[in-house]
Amino acid sequence: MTYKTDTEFDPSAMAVFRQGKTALRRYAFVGLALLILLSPAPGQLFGQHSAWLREWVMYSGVGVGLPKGLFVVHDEAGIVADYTPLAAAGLDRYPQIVHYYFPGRIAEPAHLARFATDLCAKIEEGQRISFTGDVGTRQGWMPMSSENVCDHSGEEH
Amino acid sequence: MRHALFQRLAEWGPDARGSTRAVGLMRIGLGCVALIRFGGELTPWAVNDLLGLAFGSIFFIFMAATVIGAGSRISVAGLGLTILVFYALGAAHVGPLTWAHHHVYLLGVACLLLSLTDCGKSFSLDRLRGMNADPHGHPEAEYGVLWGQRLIALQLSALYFWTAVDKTDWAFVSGQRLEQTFVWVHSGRALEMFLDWPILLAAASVAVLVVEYWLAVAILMARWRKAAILVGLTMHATFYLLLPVNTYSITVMVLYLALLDPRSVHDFIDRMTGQREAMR
Repeated sequence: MTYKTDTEFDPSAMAVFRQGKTALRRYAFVGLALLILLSPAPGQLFGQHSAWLREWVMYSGVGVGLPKGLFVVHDEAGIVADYTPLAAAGLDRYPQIVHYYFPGRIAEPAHLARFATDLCAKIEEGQRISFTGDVGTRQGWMPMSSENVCDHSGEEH
Repeated sequence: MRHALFQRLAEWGPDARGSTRAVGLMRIGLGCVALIRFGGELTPWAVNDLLGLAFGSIFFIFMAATVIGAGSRISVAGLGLTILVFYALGAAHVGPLTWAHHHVYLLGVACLLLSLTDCGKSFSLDRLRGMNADPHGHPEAEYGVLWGQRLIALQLSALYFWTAVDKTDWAFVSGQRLEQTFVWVHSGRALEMFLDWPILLAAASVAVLVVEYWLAVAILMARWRKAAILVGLTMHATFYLLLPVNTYSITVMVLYLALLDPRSVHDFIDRMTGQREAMR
């Protein structure tokens, strides 16, 4: 059995094959280019999120749920001491983990107790802790205050 | 006129051909970035079960073959698919959540797009095999299809555009979102002082937004490309130094090879290795 070499094939058939291959590559290129350029649009412009269409929203949620302000300890005589958020949480710095995993993130005033668990455990009988400041949201800083942080259960609703 | 424009677009994109040295370097670079990103998590001492061992084995085989350039196009496609499977596992909460991050997606997609180029014709075992198989030991020309390289350039452009769109709101422009990020990253650390200068953070936010919109266009324009690459590399180096971006910055830096004129990369390497002098 013998086989034809490339040069023995009908040249016009080879040309048609090459043209078909080129056309196929051009269609594939346009399809992939459209997918790359437009696939974030449904999620980022219209809120139609899909796991299959990657949105480019890097770092948009980092810092969401963290407080900026002062935790203040009061007793009947007045202010006893004030604490930065880190000090209230009993931390030297926030942990180097994915921020979504940080259990102290705050979405509403009731969550302030969860954030300041360490400080709430330290106050004495007759004392209370207030918070005045802001909490990070994707729309920027949201003012938040509480006159008695530790009174809340701290569980998510 | 319309035909000429179509022809030019086709030559730039789907019909692009040229020196394969830039894509060869990109193949080695992406393989190394993949090793840095996943190596520590997938080595046999780090996995807990046979499934993890299987995933790790597949990853290391494709990664090593990609770096040395053995069956290059298939290897880099396999590496890209494997990384995208990791991404899907992370997104489905089956794997670590960190696998569902943008830097993992970008790395996987870049590998897949690179497989649409003749990335094995330069700096590869494939090339060495070809030379050994040739009776005269002549190497095959470092020349091939590059449409995947153009798609990588479009991917970078889309990335800059859409991340800028995400930042186009008052919360970002006013510096609030950057401040929140810095609160998480820098509170209690050496650069905490940045938090005392909200105006600086607002100025940095506006600068990032303007630069990202500009880069989305400038990296594709020949006249701006040199400046765009310098500005882009500076921005990504800054991100790397100030934020825990993992392999995102280094991946983008490697992908900047896709923005360069393949011929100029080829000539540059000739010049640096003394090839031109040798041919005189």
